[in-house]
Parts: sequence; C-alpha cells; structure tokens
Amino acid sequence: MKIAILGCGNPLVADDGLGVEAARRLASRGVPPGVELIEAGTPGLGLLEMIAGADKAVIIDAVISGAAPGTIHRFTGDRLPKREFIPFSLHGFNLVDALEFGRKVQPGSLPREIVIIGVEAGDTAFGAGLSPAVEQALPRVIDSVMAEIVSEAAGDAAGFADKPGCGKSG
Amino acid sequence: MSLKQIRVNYVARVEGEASLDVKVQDGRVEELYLDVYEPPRFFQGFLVGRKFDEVADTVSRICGICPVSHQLTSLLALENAMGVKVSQQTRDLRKLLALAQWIQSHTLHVYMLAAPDFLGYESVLAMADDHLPVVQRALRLKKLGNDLTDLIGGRAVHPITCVVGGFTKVPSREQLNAIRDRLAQAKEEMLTTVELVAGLPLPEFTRECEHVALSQPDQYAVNEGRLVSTRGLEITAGEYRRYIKEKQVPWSHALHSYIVGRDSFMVGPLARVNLNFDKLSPDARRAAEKTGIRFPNFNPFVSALARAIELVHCVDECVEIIDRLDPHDEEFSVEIRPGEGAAITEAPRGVLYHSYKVNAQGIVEKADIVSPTAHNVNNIEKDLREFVPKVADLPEEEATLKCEMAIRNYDPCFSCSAHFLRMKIRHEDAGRP
Repeated sequence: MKIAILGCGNPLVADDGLGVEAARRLASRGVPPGVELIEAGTPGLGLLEMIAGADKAVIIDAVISGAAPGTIHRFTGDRLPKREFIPFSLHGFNLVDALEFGRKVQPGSLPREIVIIGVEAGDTAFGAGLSPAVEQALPRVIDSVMAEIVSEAAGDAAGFADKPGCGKSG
Repeated sequence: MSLKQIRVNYVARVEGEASLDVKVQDGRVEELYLDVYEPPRFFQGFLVGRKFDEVADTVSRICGICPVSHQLTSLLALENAMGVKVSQQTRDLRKLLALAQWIQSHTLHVYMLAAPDFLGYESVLAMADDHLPVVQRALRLKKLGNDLTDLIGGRAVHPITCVVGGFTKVPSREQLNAIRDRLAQAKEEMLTTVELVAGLPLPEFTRECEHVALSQPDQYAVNEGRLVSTRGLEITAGEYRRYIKEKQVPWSHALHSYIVGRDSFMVGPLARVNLNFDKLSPDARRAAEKTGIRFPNFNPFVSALARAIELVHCVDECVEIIDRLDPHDEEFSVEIRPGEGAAITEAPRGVLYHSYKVNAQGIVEKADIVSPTAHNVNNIEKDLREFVPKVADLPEEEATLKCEMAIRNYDPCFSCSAHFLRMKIRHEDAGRP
C-alpha cells in the first residue's frame, strides 16, 4: 500500500500556501512508512507524475467555494470539486484540470483512490503568511490527512499509524 | 462610444491576466491595449531584508513553470554580488538543470498550448480525443525534464540542492548514466516534434524587430555569455540597466521594456535560434534545415518551431555534459561580502535578469528582477498592431483566436489567462453600420 500526500500551493500567496505549510508540519511530526510526503508547490501537470504509482493520493490545496475561511472540504476522485473552486492555475491547468487530463490520457497510472482535502482560503492576496482562520484550521487539516492514512491502514497490521516514520519531503 | 473595458486582474499562482482591446478604423488599428498584470514586480520589495541563502527558494515561487530559471539566475547574481567563484562541475550541473527546465517548458508549450491552437482544438484535453499518442508523447518528454530536474536539483518543481557556491548533493555516475540513456532514447521523439511543428499551418507574418539573446562563442548560451542582438547590442549583465529600460503605459500593469535609443525587442527561443543558430548541436541544425524554414526568421509564429529545434539541442547537450562529467562531492564555503551583482540567463521564455545588493551581513538591500514576459510585452503589442489588420475582417471568433495565438507565440506567463482573452474588435469603417 503506497500513499502519496501532496501539499499544493504557493507560500507567497497568503492562504494558497496552506497545502505546503501542512506538508511541512506533517514532515516535522513524521508520517508512517509507506507514506510519501511531497511538498508539491505549484506543479501544474507535474501533479500527475507525483501521484503516479501510488495506491492512494491525498492532496491538500486551497479552495474558494464561498464557505467560511478555514472550512475543510473533502473531495474524491469520483467527486472532484468544481473547477472554479480551485482558484489558482498554471497555464490553465489547475488541480481539477490536471486530474481530468490524467484520467483521459494516462488512466493506468492514477491512484485507485484520490482524496482532496480542500481548505477554504480567506486571504488570497500576494504576500507570505496564512490568515488566522486558516492557521487555526491547520491542526484539523493535519488530523484529516492522518485520518485518511489511518483508514487505509485499518486492514494492515495494527499500530501502523502510530509508528512515526521518516517521510520524504520533496 | 466608450473604449473602456471591464478588467479583472487577480493573482493566479502569481501569473497574470491579460485582456486586449482593439479599435480598428477603416482597416487601421486606431487603438490597441494589451493589459497585463505582471506580478514579479512585487517580488523585489519582498526580497529586501531576506538573507542571501533564502533568496533562491523564494524566487523559485515566482513561477511554477520556470522555478529553476529564477533560482539559477538569483544564485548567479548573488555570487557576482559577493564575489563567489564556482567550480566547472557546478557550472555543468547548472546548465543541465536549465536545459531540464527547457525540456519541461518547451514540451508543455509545443504540445499543450501551440499544437491545439494550430490544429484548431479548444484545448489539449479536446485534442487528446483525436491524438492520444501525441499527447502521451508530450507527457513522456515532460516527465524526462522533470526527472532530470529532480536528479540534479533534488526536487522536481522547486529544486533544493543548488545553492550559492555549488551543489549540496551531486548525482552519482549510475544515476547520470540512467538518465543519459533516457535522454538519448528521447532524441527520436524530439526530432519527430520538429517535424510535427514544421507541419503545422503557421501563419505568414513577418515583422523584423530587434531580437535579443545571450550568446557565447563556443556553446549555445543559457546561463552565461553576453547579451547580443540582431542590431548590434553587445553588453554584459552588469551593463544591462544602462541599455535596457522600462516605461509605464497607462493601460497595463506591465512595464514596457525597450532598448535605449531604439524600440521594443523580442526575447525567447526564436531570438536564440536566430542569434545562435551555428551553436546548436549538429542534429538540431540539420533538423531545422530539413524543415525548409530559414533562419534568421522574423515570423513570431515560428517560435513554436524554434522551441522544437531547441528540444533536439537540449537532449544532445545534456548527453554531452553527462558524458563529460566526473561527478564528485565538492566542499565549498561562502564568505559573506557586501556588494552588488547582476546576472542574465536564458529562461525557457527568454532573457531573465536578476540583480541584488547585499550588505555585510548577507542581507538583501535591493533586488531587481525582469522576467522574459516583462521583456516581451511591449513587443507583443507591436506584433499585434501589425497583425490585427491582417485578421480584422475574419469572423470575430477567428480573429480573436488568431490574436491569442500571436500572443501565445511568446508563451507569456499570462498564457493561462490569454486562453480566456477578452477581446473586442471595434469596426468603425465609413461604410459599416
């Protein structure tokens, strides 16, 4: 069972940096063996290469859906967020486009399960640092990511999620 | 009739939006406004107060498509500022990194942006329905660039091993050999890419503007060399600000670059191929000659072909560098010294300029960054002024698409928004209603 956790976003655009910040915090607390932690930044289509070969991908990114800042949404590969919810893109390829593109062009290499932990952004102006609402939500974001890992590990040997491992950052 | 137009400017992954507003009267362009939001300007203030060793990671966030270019250019400029010398191995590895970036970026542009345009698809997603193997080839080639970046830089998107003074980690001979084989195997696909682009219906349109690129006597210039032009410019990075200036225009957030005493200019793959054709690898030259399209060439639509030609060169030069390397860990230390320094590199989209002033504590006091798109915006407008009359009588949708393509020749960092370019052509011909 190979799980890839991706923290997406730009740390220089306020709350868009939440995915990268979550990945950094996960790296410092440690993730179990078999979990690859990737500080994905703004990968565009490169996202597909990062999740290729994993059984499950958990992607953390900022969304704008109109909910209160810091609200945590859970989307899945079968139920992707609306394209407009992911406000940032590279050359027209945002997270949703990249996943749809991957499904069309190289379906075989996509993980069987894709989960997107979308966190409602408040501040999306240029400048480093998360808004207070998103900062406060981060521990819950990390819990949500850990829950995704634990749910996968349920069928594996007991205690899997309790063993801190050395996640690869990058 | 008001010429005012609704504008929405917002930061999208620190790329900008563009809108175009054109007024055509009796077949002549009366007014033409390309409104661009150019975020890298903000970075300069953002960098002030940071320590020299934080700069590379920060600037790598300027752009998700060419993070390596910003990183490398900042390192070179900081090294110039602090008087740091690097080894030949470092220079070689840095060139590999830069070429890896070109492979990623050019593949993306040629296949994902240019090909759908020229073949008449709304997007690469639509193109994939009819040309799945072609799109899959694009992803394979792009992955090669990513993997090479990952190997040399320690991370595929925002590399971490390349720092002021050298590399914190050097790939092994085995790792290099493995990627060398993949590069060599990709050669055929790069040659196919040249044929593919040469076979696209590239519009006939020539505008002989000044083309500017780095140039070196003995190699295809990427990270080093003098800045030269088709009209005799020949300067060092340190002289850049004396010759290249920017002016504000009221309708755009992007400054307009120009050469003192002259005009706008083009940077990017076409300028490089035009100015450095004889430094391309022999196979890249032969592939170019086989297309029947001659260089120097002043049709901006040939830029896509120039990218494809450079892809052939990229794999040839990467293989050559890897064969020459004797990879070994190197000790290096950096002495913090106050100073000012500049550097110019060839990012995938063209000339990228960074300059920094560092104090005795190694803190950045001044930063100046001019991206390739910032260099090109003025020239894109000039292209459009001549190009619009040729397409103004086409149905509105087609005219808009042609103008978007003229903008996308430059693969500007606002392409994502140029895909949704809002354009109005106002006909005010005497005989028209």
